[in-house]
Amino acid sequence: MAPDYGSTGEVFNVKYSRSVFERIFEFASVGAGLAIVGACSYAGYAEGPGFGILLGLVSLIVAAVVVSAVFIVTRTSADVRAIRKQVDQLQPPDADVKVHDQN
Amino acid sequence: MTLVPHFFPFVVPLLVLTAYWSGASWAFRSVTWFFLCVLVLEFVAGKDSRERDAAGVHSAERYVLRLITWIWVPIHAALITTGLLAVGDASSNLPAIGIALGTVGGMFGIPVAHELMHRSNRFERALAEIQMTMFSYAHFCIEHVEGHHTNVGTPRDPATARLGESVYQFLPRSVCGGFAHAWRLESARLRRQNRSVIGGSNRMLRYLLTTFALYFAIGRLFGTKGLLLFAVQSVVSIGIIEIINYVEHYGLTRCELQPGRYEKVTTEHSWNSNHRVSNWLLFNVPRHADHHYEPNRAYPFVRHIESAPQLPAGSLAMYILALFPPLWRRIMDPLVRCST
Repeated sequence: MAPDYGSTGEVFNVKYSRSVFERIFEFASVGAGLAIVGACSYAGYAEGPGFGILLGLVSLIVAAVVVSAVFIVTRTSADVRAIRKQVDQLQPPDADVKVHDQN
Repeated sequence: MTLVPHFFPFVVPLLVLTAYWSGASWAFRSVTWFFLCVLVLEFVAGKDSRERDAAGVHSAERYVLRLITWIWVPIHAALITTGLLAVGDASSNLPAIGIALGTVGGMFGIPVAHELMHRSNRFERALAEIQMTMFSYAHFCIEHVEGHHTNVGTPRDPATARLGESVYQFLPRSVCGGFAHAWRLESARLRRQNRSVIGGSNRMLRYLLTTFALYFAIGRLFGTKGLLLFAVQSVVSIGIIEIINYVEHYGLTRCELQPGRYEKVTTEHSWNSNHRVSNWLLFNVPRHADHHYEPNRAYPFVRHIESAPQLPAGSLAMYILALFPPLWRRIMDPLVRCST
């Protein structure tokens, strides 16, 4: 099954190959997300015009904690569980096949 | 009592304004703490599927509900002006104030402008344009109403996120595509009316001139720091509105019946969220399925559509998750596959 756009890594539990570029982009996107949420949390306790390295680090940690909490709570929500169950029923158990580049 | 939740968004600007003018140093920092509280409250407060019947609402109450959107605009202008004054102080932190202002603008100001731009009344549409000019994004009034609502769920719509597309791929496509599409729509409108594309009737040119004039005035009055602050808060607000666009239509598409002709927009083409706190804060924008089904329905009466695709968490949580594409896809892609 080819994805509609780009690569999702896991669709219907079907894994297909991802290029190195895509993996790097995915890693960078997590860094960007942490930087954005971290900047927002930094705005919550930044005093004065300067930028403190320690406060910056604390902000990144706060961002990581907030995002992890949101992900865990969302993932365990009843709606997601119900849909995942439906998806698992649609998909045969031996579907873990590797699909190569469609081009 | 039913009116009270609609005043919830006013807590933030009033808190910031009161704190700043009474000399508190934490005025702008309170924005972050407010949203952290909202995030927790959203999970605790749960969902609310109740709907308000427009016929059963007293005309005075209806007027107050409209007034809420009108009074937001001067309050937001006051908030930005306060930020511009605050940033002149040597002990202020420009990026922190910019993020705080931009977050308030993106989370509350843009939903208000969105509500106003859908009204047929000229005064309210003008208010929407003023509000969007405060984010340097006035062309959104054209693109959203005339472009996005017509083309949602099709490849023609830059504001519909495709399955597997990360928010970082979506953002430049939507921002640049939205501007180009708004220009094309406005040019087509003027040509239909046998008017010159380059002239005073062109709303896009008017928006651009107004925005430049605003930047010029801010530069003269508040200097480089003021100019930078205005730009930072605009960028943050634009980022938030595009994240909202990303979340609301992620992966949902309309069937192409014939080449270039798509099925009608239904409630299946937007994600719906019934989480109480998000809907209070965002003027019912998370009840997006009904909004696209009936775009002119006023925000207090937007309905919950049970059959529409449902977001698994409140909007604020989903906006945060969208910033982390691997986590976002892990949650959303199975839901998209199940909804289409």
